Amino acid sequence: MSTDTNTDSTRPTATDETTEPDTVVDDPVLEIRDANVTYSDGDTYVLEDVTVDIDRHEVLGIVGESGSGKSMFASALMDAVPDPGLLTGGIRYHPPDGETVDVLELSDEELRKFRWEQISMVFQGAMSSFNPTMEIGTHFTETLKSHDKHVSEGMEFARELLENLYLEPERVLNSYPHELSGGMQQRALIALSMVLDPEVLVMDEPTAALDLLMQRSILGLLEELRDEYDLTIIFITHDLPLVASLADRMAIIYAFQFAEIGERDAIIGDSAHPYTRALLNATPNLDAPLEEMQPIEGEGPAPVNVPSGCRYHPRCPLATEECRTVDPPFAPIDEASDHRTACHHWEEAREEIPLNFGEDAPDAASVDSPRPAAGSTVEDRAVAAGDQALLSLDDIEVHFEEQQGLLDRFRGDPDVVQAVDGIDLDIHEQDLVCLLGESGCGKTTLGKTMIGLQRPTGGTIEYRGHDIWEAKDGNADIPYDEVRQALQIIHQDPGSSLNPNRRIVDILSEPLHHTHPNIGRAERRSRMHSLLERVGMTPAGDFLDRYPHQLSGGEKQRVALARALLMNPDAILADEAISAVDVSLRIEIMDLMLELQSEFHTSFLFISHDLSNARYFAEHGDGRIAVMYLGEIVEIGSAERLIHDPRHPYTEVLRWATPNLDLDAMEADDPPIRDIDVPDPVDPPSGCRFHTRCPVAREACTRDDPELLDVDGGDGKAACFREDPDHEYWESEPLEGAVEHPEEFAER
Amino acid sequence: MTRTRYEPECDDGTLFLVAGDDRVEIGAVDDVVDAVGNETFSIEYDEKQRTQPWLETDEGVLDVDVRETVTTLAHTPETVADLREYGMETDAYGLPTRTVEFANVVVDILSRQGSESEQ
Repeated sequence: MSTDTNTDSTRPTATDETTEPDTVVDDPVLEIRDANVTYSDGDTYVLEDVTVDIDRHEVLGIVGESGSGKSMFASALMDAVPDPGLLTGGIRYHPPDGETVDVLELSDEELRKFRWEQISMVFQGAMSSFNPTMEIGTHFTETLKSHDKHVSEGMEFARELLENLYLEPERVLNSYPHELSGGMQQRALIALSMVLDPEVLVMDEPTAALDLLMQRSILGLLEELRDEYDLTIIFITHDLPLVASLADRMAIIYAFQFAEIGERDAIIGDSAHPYTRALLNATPNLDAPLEEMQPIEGEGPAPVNVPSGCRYHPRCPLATEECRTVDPPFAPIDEASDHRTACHHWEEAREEIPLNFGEDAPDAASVDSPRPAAGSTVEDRAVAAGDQALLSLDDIEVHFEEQQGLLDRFRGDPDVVQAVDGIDLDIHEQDLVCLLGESGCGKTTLGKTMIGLQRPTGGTIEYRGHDIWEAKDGNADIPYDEVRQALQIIHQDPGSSLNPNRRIVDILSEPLHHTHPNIGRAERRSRMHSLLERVGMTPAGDFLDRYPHQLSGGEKQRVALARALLMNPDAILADEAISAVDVSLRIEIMDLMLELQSEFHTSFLFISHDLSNARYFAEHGDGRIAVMYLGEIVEIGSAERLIHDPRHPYTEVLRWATPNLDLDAMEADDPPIRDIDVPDPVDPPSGCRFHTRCPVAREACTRDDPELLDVDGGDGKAACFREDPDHEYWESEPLEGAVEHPEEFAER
Repeated sequence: MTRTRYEPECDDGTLFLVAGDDRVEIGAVDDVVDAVGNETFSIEYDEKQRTQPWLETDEGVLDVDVRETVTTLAHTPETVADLREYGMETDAYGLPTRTVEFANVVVDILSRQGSESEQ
């Protein structure tokens, strides 16, 4: 193995330690030295002075926000920087056998072979890199043929990989990409990236499209794949707690440079860079007291606008004159350590910026309001006051029929997907309800039904006592237009809901024409101006004339929020509305929504797959979380009760699937669940629908469907026989693989 | 459970989507191609996407033969259920509504791939 290193660096340094290789990496599979990626004839850096060794068989987690350069680092590893970018420096690859490869010296044909056979990647945008006219199986065979591999042997391996990723191999191989869900496409891509048996797997946000439960399960699987196939994994993400459960080491990228790198436990529990510590404190999680979670003010710089000195100094509370003028070296924090950071004041950072979780954190229970008792939510207060519900759902069902062949129709009833089944729920004035659950659990269908976008196939939904669908059919004494105006929606991807060909001023004018048809142009502009400023888009005049593509993800979401508010709605359905927003901004956007809820007297229906986000929203808004499973609400209550005292085993599963920052509980253990796959909603299990996966299911659960019952000693309701001490459940036999008590499941 | 899958069948120039005994008329293949707008649909992949080993493109552009695609691509029951909602009467553009909607489905599937994808 070659040991020579290039020690040149353009990063201003106090010492020459910046380009020293990491001291603990004794068998590097990759050595990166002074890697820079520049555009505009070298004037603009999108990756700057990166020097790092990657250890054979390690999992290196790389965390950064959007636009920080983390994807460019991934591209650099495969010498796949988009034109006209220029990659300089050194990238050396050490195969297990044979000679060291200088990646940047490879010919085009050598590079083609090197990629995917030695270093493979699942990159952002890979979901759009299928050939839509080829079945997935052909994608595998073409991959094997293009690298001169034995196709039938390769396809056997492909089937093994697909099965390991909880997919049915034959079904997936025979499907076209458009026939698979997003999650299945993403897992097929992971299998495609592995089929040539690479040494290094680079994963750039590979699980972002998947549910938390599937994400956590795949992370566990990646660990197994690493051991089984001797892989080195570089896992790039914006989701710090997610990768923390998998990584051996972690690196934090800020403004195109590495800000910190070290052992996972050191980065989480004893980080040295103010940005890392702020990012940890800004990450919604289940361990920190709510009041201690703080967004990071401002945004990371654009490549053309990188500040002098330390590039984090405009956002750093500890910045001094030295920080404004001298770029700190990326240096070990002590001689014996592999923990490196780029900060002049890292010792102060550890003292001055306390972490809001872990040993030094204020106790969550003492800082939070006391654990809620009955009467603490908007719902409790509204019921106590006898107020009429804003929206009232009574035994709502939404069933979709699947089309069948003629013969099937003669044979029996059509297949029916029970997307929503028998739900009762009241939403009050200025209420907040989070619908939480996995993909396909019916939360979006229920949300759309709540705001009148989906006609139920059974039951009724009333807006202020008027049946919404009677109003739509002209049979109620309330105009349907009034209902439509009162109930608004914000989508997950604001980009797709904002017309790309219209300026923001035109997008916002539309609702104003509807709500205030008689106001003049000047007043319309004035109203838009003040609302944009209220949602944090200043100066508003600059934004009004822009097109959606000229806005960041967070700005688009603010415009979508402003557009919904201009309709003066009584309720807004926010469908995964902050999933696409950067971690450091999430709390800011959630805080904004909560403030606007109060100012505009609006109720929020918040759909999420993430318990941390739902917790933040529900707890600050005195709201409730409704946990959904296969079309039913299985538990509902305040966030703190659901997190600290979950009564339904499925709520416990969701809690397990939520990444946290507790180092003692971080190792990815097996999920407290007997089957990872969600049953087919066309044919849901008899009795309790969760019994096929439930760790404590018994014979009684296969017969009757439990009703939502008031929780003894806490707020809310749960649909589990374990809530009834006299139920026959307690006398019946545990199902195969089930245990007596949930805690025994983890100890098996 | 094995999911139903609708395969295209061409009968004397007319396209049907077929699963078992269920046969849904889509319209003349010529009309579908007219509604898509061209015999060829080009998908451009960005530099990173075109490194995928299964993609054989000319300078990153994959030219899809629309006529071949509409007569080979299978569809989900959900798509066919949606198409069934549209009749075969002629719409304002002189083509059957269901035919035009099917062309939209095909364009949507093709548009999900590539650098300008709508996914």
